[in-house]
Amino acid sequence: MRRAKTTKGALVLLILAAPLGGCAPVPAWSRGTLADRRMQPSQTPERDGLRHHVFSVREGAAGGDGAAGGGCGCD
Amino acid sequence: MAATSPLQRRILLALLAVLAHVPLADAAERAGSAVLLYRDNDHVTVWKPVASVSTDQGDLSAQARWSTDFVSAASVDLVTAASPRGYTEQRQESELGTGWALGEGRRIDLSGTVSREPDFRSDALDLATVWEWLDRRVVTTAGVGVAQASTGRTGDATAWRDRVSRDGHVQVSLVASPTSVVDLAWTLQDLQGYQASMYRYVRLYRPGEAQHLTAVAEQVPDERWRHAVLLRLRQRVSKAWFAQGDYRFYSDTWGMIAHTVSARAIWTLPGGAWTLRGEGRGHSQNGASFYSSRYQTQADMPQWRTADKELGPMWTAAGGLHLEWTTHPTASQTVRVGVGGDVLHMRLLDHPYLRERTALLATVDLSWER
Repeated sequence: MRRAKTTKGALVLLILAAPLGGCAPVPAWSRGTLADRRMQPSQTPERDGLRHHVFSVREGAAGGDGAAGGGCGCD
Repeated sequence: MAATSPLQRRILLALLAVLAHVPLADAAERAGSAVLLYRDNDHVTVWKPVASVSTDQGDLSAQARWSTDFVSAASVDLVTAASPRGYTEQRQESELGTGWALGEGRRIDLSGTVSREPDFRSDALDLATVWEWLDRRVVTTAGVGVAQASTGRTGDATAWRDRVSRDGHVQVSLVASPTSVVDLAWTLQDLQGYQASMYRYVRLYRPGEAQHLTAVAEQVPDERWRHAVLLRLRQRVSKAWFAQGDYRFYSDTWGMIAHTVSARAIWTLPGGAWTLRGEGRGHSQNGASFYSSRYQTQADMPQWRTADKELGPMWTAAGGLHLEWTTHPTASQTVRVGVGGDVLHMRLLDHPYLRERTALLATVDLSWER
């Protein structure tokens, strides 16, 4: 039952993302916009890594963002 | 601060050797650092500085990161169950990585991470590839990692138990419009081995009695498969405004399902030197299938039992601001200084001693790049 729910959740996300598959052409003038630091997933990687570690230690879930961490976080 | 360990000295020397072989002229370089102060109303205080350096020579890149934790904890469940006086300890983590360009738009990255604390040690290796497709309108990242960890108990050299984790991740980023990017990421992790804490004891009660009868060691399954899917939108709203939002779905074979949403708005003030960032985050999870706030005594004790509040049902909410000052935003060399603060509120829905916890996260960060 649990496994079925998990699979259903993943499928819903994939279906939601499917219409985005038609990626847009990128004119040269907008390359700078896409490369802008404020468009990056993290603008302050050291700070964001610290915050992310707090959340992963304080909650039971982790992953999904490609980040890896160490420590048992057992406090 | 504790003395640098021999292993960390070796990592530092290896990094210096890599940097020494990389001509610095025309290279993109970056150095960054940040300090976090975490303090909550459950008597846990953490100081955590982190520092990193990286250089990118085009075909070859190298990076190193070091961080440490100073944890002081006298949490209510620690005081009542495990450590009558709480504890203070330090953890150190070092990472060394390198990357090679395999051609136009293709790269491979390799990194190793070593983590040490008095009762936990971990060594991890990660390998990832990045490919750009369709004139850089699609970027795919795929990677695998393996980590060997050992958990012990301070003062007991015989108590160490091992755990191995293997993970894989895939991410697709695509340009949805000239001002927006969509990321879809998936992570799968397989954990095998000891995953409990040697400090946590589970109280057993007779039915109807408030006073516990005895306490037994925490015991959880040796196998845990975790997976998470993330969908993120990155959007340029105007020249001064950018926004991001994401949703993560998580589930594992211990029966936990979690939903996490976060949003971020970035506003650069006129002149370009000051940037203000607002962030919000919400998270909810059910408990692991074997989690209970009250385990009953019985002839056959429950095989799996835990006192880990992070395995119980909860929701959390966080919000904060970050203000950054940038020197000469258009110059070849840039220095950035930032300060930030977040409030994190956790509501534990089924815990015997702790109903809620509120924490303040304060950060200072500094970076230089050219």
